Amino acid sequence: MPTSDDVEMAPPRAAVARPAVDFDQFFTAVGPSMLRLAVLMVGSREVAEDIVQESFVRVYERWDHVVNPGGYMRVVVINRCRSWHRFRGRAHRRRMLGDLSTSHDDRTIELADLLARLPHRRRAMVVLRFFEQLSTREIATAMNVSEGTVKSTIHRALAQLRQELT
Amino acid sequence: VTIDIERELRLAMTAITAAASDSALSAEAVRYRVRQRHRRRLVMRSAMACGVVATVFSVAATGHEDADDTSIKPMTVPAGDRVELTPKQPWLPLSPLDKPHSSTTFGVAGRFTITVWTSMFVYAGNVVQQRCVSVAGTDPVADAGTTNCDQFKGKERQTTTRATLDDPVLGPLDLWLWSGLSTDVAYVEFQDGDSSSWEQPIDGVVAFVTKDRQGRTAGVSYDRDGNEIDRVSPLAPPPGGPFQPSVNPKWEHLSQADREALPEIASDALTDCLSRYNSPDDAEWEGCLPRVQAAVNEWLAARA
Repeated sequence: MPTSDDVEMAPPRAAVARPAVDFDQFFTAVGPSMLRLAVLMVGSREVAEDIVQESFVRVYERWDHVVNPGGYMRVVVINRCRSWHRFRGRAHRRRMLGDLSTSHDDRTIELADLLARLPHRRRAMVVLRFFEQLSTREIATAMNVSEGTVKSTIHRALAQLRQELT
Repeated sequence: VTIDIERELRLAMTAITAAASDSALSAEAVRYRVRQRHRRRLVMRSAMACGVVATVFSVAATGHEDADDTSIKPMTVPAGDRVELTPKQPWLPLSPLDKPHSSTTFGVAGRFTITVWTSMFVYAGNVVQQRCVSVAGTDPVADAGTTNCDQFKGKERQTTTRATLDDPVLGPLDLWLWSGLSTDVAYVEFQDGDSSSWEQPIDGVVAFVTKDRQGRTAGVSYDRDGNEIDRVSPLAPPPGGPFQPSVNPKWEHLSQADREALPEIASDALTDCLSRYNSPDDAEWEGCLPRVQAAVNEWLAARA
């Protein structure tokens, strides 16, 4: 039976060759950026570390079958962040804002709060577009939607953020 | 005041993640977790294997009937000949639903192909199941070309459909289809002029090829004990009437932006639910309704 991760994006299988990268090298190369991505998605360093660690476990288990480990890892992280939000996100969001208030200016805290209030898909697309600097096509592939959906979702998310900031 | 929201977002996200560079992550910890997980799986599989063996022995010892067969079967003997819908390999024409959905395809009398798409949508904060039924002729017979999307929840919305195709060998064939049957329905008796037959529904749908062209058709649905549930005929249209949406009180206080975002919440929850079932049937789908509604309620409560 497939898991939600499978449904979002199944790893490309077998025969296609991928660059021979050692798992340790892969871990070192993508670990920090995946952690930052998860921090933006869940707002908690501690939770983000756990999510990224678990995502690496998943990639490691499928290491021989995944053609594009970086892309697959990103999808797994985003899906795990979504699951986490669904069950535990609300309570943690308050705590996260408490943590932020000691080290960031008001504008950053306000934006972090608004970002955390966005629905999962909008938040993920905004982070992938403006932090990870992915193209519309790359986001569409990662999230298994059309490019038109990516454009309209980001447009709506920015409109929502702009409206709530004014 | 013009806000450069993209620039502000980049700055804020950089600031938020600045402290995340010195992480405690390690590749060795990943391997350790993988080893732990493999051990747990081994233990679980062993336990499951023991359970399967115990079940097999228990069923064999009691002479129990097929334990996997949980479908609702009639306890009484319906009138007329039994007609069976034939499950087919998914033949998936373009879905009329632009959202997560499941689909089932089955054949009727080797001539018609019926596809049922099941999904949900959110109306004013309430989750409503949506189902589309498509009727087509089986290749190489010409496409009968009917697609009908109905909105219903339980017995609130039932419809009947007729489709005709020109079979080069048998001549014109008519199909009579009743969709939106509740999960209580074990079988439907179909009166076709002077003859009658019966059928068990798939995904709330029964379909009969009819020869009667004078409208002397009627369908009666029964539960497994033979109690009549509903009755449709040209003189008695399907029960339920038009779709009657209700409004969730919490939805009324939402901002426009949140109202636009709500379908995504439901869509994500639905994707989760769908991914848990390889071949959803009615009972599983009915289990999805409260799950998706619960996710929507939680989201609405967070904004109350």
